[in-house]
Amino acid sequence: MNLTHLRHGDFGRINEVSGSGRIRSRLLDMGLVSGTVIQMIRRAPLMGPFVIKVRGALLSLRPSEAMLIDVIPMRKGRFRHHRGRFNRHKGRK
Amino acid sequence: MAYEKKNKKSINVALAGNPNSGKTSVFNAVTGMKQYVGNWPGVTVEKVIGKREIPGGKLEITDLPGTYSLSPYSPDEKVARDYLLFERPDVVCIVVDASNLERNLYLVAQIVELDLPMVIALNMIDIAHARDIQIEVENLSRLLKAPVIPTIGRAGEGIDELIESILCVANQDFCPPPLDYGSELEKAIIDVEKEISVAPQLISRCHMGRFISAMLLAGDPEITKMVLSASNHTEPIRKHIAKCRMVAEKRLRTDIETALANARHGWASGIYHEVVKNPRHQELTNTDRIDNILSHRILGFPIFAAIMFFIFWATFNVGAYPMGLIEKLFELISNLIDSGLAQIGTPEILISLLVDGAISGAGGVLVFLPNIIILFFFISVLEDVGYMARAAFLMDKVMHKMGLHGKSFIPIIIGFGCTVPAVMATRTLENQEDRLLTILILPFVLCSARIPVFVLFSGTFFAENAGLVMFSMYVLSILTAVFAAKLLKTVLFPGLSTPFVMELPPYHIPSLRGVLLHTWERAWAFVKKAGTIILIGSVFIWALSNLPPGVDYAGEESLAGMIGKLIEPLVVPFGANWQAAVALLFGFVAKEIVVSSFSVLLSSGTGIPLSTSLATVFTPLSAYAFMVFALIYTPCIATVAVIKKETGSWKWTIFSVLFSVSMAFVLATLTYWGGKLLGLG
Repeated sequence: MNLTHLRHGDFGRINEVSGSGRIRSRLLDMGLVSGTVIQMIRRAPLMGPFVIKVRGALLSLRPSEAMLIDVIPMRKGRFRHHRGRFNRHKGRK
Repeated sequence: MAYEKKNKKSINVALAGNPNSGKTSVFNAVTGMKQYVGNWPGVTVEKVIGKREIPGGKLEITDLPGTYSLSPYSPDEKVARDYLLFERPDVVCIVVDASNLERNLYLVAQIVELDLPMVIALNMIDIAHARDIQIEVENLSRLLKAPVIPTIGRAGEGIDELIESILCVANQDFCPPPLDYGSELEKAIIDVEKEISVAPQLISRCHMGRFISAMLLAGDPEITKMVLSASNHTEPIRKHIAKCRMVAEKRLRTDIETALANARHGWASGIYHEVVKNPRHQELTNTDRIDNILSHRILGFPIFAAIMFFIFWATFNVGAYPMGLIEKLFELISNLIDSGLAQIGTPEILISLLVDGAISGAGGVLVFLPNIIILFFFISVLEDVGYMARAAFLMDKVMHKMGLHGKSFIPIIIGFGCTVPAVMATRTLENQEDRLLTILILPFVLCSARIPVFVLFSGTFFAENAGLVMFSMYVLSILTAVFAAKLLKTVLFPGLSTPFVMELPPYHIPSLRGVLLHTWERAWAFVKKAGTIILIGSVFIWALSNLPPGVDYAGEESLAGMIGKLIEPLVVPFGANWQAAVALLFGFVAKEIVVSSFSVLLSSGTGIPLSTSLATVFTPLSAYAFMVFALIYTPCIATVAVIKKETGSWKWTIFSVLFSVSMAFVLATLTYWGGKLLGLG
């Protein structure tokens, strides 16, 4: 599943970064390489960009970029950044 | 003495580092040069050079644009890469954010391979300590084979040691341990390196060849072009590189770019975990706590709106007091000069030049200084705190819908104050097209200089509904900007979608010194740019109004009147006459001059109040159409000058002027004739 399906506070391990050219190399340079553990932090209002934590830094991505990042979900977050849920994923517990 | 001078040498130091690493504050601390410290990713765009005297010579320090990697993504990053690669500074000083060490070491991983004598400034060490991140500095220095100096750029701590280390490494031959990419990649790199010995200047140093080869394997278009152009038989090299790439990718079961990024991040991560014994990646930091409120998906917008509202309230309400004082001061000065010079028998024409030309012109601009200072003070605070990146994050969706970028929002906000610094603020946009688009729509944003025009007109013609009319100008300004953004995006840059990958810097308490410095610089830039240009412009207008000698000031026979008559046909379609044409023409110098032009053209010497004489020239409808035109056409010469400077292109500057003027013409004409059809006048 891709990054957009993670919920607040959830962790995921990056499986693959697709896309091409500048966008892809930018994502790689920002530390989004396969094997990296990231945490979903929040999403902007109106289905705007996401914020994730990667290598200790906060990174903001548009959905179009977040879609390029395939993640394997790990455990749920120890804390919720806030109670609101977004992007409820059907079929997930 | 002469001998000593001859012996003085200058050491070139390049200051490199990630955006938000506090690079600029270290630069300021080293050079003592006043320069802006901010929190926006990519705030330093121009190549800024500072000097520092040292015993027996000097350091010449180049502040490179902040960059995350040496595979350039934006023109700014390319500047940084090219400087390090081809200009070869004597020393590279890498500023790393101690509280964000792992990410920052990724850039170090790449610079290590450039074989430049290197010093690491472990900056913002205080913030790292506050977050309980303990870094073993000596261990880090040993692993990187380079001096590591903890610094606090904002407070100037550690700067002397940093300079000492720079001097120390300047004359050393530096050859750090190469970064191990793993056997498959290493094989491919060595293979390519053999092939490119055709371009010896690129691989003269010990690991440079490795770096170039890695770039070639990753398919960096510019490096590839450069290496190939250095050779006579390009085709075999190209084929060879492609072959190496293919073989390696097959064995690695991933593409070269990923493998290289993986290896470099792996190196950075390895070093990070070696020197930081209590890595904390997952704990809830203060930044997270603040973000839970400020970036909240429901509360975020109202808080943002409240902050913006407060800033505007403060800018215009608090600013009104010093504004009144400045107005009085200029009145006093011109009265003094007027009577003083008259007493000593100065010719009237000279007094008029000074009082009507220079002083009233400069006064007209300086009156806005309090507004500008207050606005910039708050903007600097927000930038320094780290909120601006959050604003971009919150606004990105809306801005994206308009065809702009989240970061376009800040220049637009500044544009409500003054277009000149707003155009300068577009530097934070990484992509050239996004930046150009933002610059082109900024003239439509209602800047404070236009307010006097609207106050005069709405007060004169729509006394009871003046507030509403004023508000309609703001609405129209925003609608025009949105429409123009959509239009330009579709016509000029179809299909453009810049990725929005932005780091959100941790929040920190702003330093008063940094904020004041920044405010002062922007305000001074405004006074200097606007002041000089408007001063010249005012004198020019004065001359046009008084020549040929002996005419009534700005009468029909003066040059100004003749020009007004000449361009009258252009303003007739929206119901204006030659005096309005002159006022609009003078408004090119600065919008507020429109008001003073009217007072000169219509009521000077007659004793009739301006509002009465205006009513003889305009109907309410044509007055509104005139306001629309005044709103939309090019704000001022200073804006034109800054657009030229920031786009570096006359083509776009002229385009911007023509675009605004034609938009203004079309909309004003539509307003006028639309109103006529509706029977409004």
